[in-house]
Amino acid sequence: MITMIRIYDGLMSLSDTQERCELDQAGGQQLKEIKSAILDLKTVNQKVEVNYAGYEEKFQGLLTQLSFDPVSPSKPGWTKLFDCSMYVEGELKPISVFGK
Amino acid sequence: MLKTEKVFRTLNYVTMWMLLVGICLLATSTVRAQKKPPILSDRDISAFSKSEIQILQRDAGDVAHPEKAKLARNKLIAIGVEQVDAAFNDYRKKSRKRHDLLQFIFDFLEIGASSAINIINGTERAREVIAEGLSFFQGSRAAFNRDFKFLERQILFDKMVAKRSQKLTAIYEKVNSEVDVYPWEQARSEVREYFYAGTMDEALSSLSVDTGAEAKLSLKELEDAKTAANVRGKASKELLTANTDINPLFKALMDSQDLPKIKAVYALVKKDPLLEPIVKGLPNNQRLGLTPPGKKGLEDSLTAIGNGTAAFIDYNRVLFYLRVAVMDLLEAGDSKPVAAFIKVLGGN
Repeated sequence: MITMIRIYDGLMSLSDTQERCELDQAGGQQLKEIKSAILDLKTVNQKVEVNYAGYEEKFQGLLTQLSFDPVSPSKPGWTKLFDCSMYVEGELKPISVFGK
Repeated sequence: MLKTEKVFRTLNYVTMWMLLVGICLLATSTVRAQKKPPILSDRDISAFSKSEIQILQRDAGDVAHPEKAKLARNKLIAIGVEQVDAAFNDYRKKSRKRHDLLQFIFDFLEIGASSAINIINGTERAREVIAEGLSFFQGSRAAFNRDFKFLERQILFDKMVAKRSQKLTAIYEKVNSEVDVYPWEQARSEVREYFYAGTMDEALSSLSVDTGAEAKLSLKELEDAKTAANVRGKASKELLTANTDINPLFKALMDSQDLPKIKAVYALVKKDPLLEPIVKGLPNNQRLGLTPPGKKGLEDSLTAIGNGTAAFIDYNRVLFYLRVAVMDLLEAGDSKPVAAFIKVLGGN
């Protein structure tokens, strides 16, 4: 069950988004999903690409390290968390998320 | 041989025809420059008399007679402004004339060549030659307009006019000042700036500065709007350092599963003047991004802590969200709550 949603700038690089997710889940949440979206910033009349990251509580057995990679079924030594389509430097890309 | 003669004859006809049309158009031009009124004649006025200017400069420096000095300084300013205006208007007139003439020649040749293709009786080769010439000409015209920034000239002139107006206003605002406050030397420097405000280099530079400033401003507005919408960017160094400091302390506490220990830490949190209000406001903290189940879980844990029925996980949950909240505050520029949180986790 998703308990916390954080919004990330879709202009960030893949490694920066990965680092950001690791930071936000540290201590008790596991990254569960990422959804791409366009956010309408009405105050400046601009639409920006963002990624919504959903976390769920996990106080025990948290996979603290994350690895965002081009879509692949597995990665040795890592547990696959999910596949998603997310904005990377403003472009929509298919990504596999692993944790350990 | 006969073919070549025909081509040349055709080209001659085309050239003659185009020249005739050109002469007709030039002769019927209705745009004429206005005559300058005699009082504005450039001859026989003090502005061009070196000796008059030397006398005025001497008087402008005569601080013993402030009124006379002020009058002389203001006369010098007026002369300077008049000369700068004359130079600017002359430059603008010449530039516009050159531009209009070139554009007219371009239009005229282009229309003439394209019409010639249709009206000549020459061979296919003659038509091809003219068509090739027309393509070459159109390409050259586009390159000329682009490379010599012909179409942007009006923007630059508008910029010059705006800049000149600013400088002149600044000068005129000081003409009532005494010469010891606003001496001729300073006024001359400002008249010089007024002159440079009407140059192409200054207009380009000013345009570039203005565009850069506008772009910077809109980027700042966009960043502010993103922050207001809780859109997070790359983690800052401060954030990563704080996380590194918190991690071992937080992990040790949670791995211990020691209820009295975590209760003691929570008691310190409740005593801390910075952390206590943050804990209180956690369920309604918009920056956290709590979903309804997340909010409910947090509220239940806070209630359980409040009525003394809380388990280890309740304290864990509240301290986790407190951790996220203080990190959010650090990201917003407030480092004190993070420092207080680290201190509490360390048992101090």
